[in-house]
Amino acid sequence: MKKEINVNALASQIMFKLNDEQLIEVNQEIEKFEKYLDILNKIDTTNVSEMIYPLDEYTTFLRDDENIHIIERDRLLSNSENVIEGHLVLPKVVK
Amino acid sequence: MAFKNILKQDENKRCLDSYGKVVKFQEKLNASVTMIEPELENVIRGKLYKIPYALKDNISTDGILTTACSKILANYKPVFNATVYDKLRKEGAVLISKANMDELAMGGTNLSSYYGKCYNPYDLKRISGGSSGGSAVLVSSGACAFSIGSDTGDSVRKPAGYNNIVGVKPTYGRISRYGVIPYASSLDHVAYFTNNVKDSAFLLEILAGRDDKDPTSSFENVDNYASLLSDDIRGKKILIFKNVIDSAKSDVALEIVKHFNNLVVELKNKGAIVEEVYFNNDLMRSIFPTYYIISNCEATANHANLDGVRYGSQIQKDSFEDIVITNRTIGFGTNVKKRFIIGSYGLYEENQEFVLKKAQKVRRLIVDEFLNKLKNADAIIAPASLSVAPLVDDKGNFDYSDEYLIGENHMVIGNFAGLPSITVPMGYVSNLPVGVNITTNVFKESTMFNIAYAIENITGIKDVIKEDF
Repeated sequence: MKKEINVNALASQIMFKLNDEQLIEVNQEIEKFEKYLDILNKIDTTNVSEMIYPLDEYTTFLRDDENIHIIERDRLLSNSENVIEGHLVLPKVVK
Repeated sequence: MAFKNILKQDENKRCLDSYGKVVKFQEKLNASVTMIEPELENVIRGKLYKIPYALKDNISTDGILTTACSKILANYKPVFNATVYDKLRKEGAVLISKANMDELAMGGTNLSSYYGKCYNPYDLKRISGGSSGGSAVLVSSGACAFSIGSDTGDSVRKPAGYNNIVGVKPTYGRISRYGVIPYASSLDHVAYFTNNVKDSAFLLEILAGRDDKDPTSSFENVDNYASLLSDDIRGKKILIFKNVIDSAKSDVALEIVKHFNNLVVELKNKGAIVEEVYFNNDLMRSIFPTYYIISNCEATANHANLDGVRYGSQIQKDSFEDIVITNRTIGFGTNVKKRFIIGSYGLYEENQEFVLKKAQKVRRLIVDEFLNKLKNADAIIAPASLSVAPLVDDKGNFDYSDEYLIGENHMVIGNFAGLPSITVPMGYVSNLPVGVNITTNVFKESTMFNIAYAIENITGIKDVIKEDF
């Protein structure tokens, strides 16, 4: 089931803009994408479950509640150019 | 350069010489994005003592620029180390370069880097391959003894073939990914390049192992791969990936298959049991479309954090929304934007069933089909690519033929299933190197290295340095 793709709406949703040249390239990419969907749709996936990870091996677990790895706040904020008293500074959201 | 050769040289001089080559080669290869003068004091006397190496620029290095070759991260200095970098420091390896790559690792050419294209030392008019292009080229040119990359589709194993070196992607979770800027989390692997199989086996002993900071890393015991190394492949059952061979139609592809067939004869002569295996061709044609959708969807979600607020480019505007839109508009290249658009479309709730979930279901069918045959064998082999390194100005050999969809993309199955997979040199076509790929069952890295070692001994191609470019 294909749907018309509104490129600018998608770009807006993921928060960037496209210039005219990029818009042409994206539309060409969408043609490829649609052909790829055609290829996938030749495959019968009835009663097949999604494969989300490569392995079934169990590697995650609840560990003991101990601090084993700490990055100090000042270091974490050191890449930001606009920090006051341990907080990132942003324009007011509510005006 | 082989570890055994570099270790014969003066400890400091080898690092300084290596750094000198990185600098000297930069103009022609553009392999580095940050060149790091070697620190020779207080180096830990470990198993890699003063062996010079490079890291792909998506691997976090505390206080050293880590840009992933994206403008949006052009000023980003991590405040922590990737586990793989820490492991190498603890063994005394000396970092001399952060290597060029496709932007955010999203590509197979190294043409999309914000810092420019990376060139192949075998022909400067040709691509290095990607996305780990800089890492590959620094090893093939002899500037580094080894290098670390990442492999989400074939981003180490394909450039290895184009550059006449060894490229290893071990089992999913075998090497910690902590501190590696992600691309597509269900497919991403840390991978690496060396000049020969023995060094590859040795290096995995150091890189592998459980890391609690990466919840996907494995508890599986790490073998002594180097001491287990043997080229005795008598009785080993090796499958030939016939769909790949049959997809070869172009002159270059047929020439590569000729090399491959000669190799198969030699494997039989060494006592391997070689059988052809043919998979469902519609499924094999679906490998790349499946990869394309899953990787783009996962990448779009992973990179939502690149907002230009907490790190990276921080162009200030009057509203939070304007800050994010401005930084992402200026910060991402066209190739990345194209992929994010597709990923975003696939992630929409109303589209998921026929885009992302469809691809994830096909992924399962491809993996089941592949493992059903591989589980009764030791390995499956095929040419790593059915082309030599393409010309930089080539618009790409992209099409919907089997030669492209299967021949150029079959190694992605290793990422779908998390299988260990290695590319080693196989020969030359028009004086350009071509590689052969070997894939084994999960955590059977030792088998993978042994078959690769046997092939290396058959071809005699190892420790080749290409510095006359």
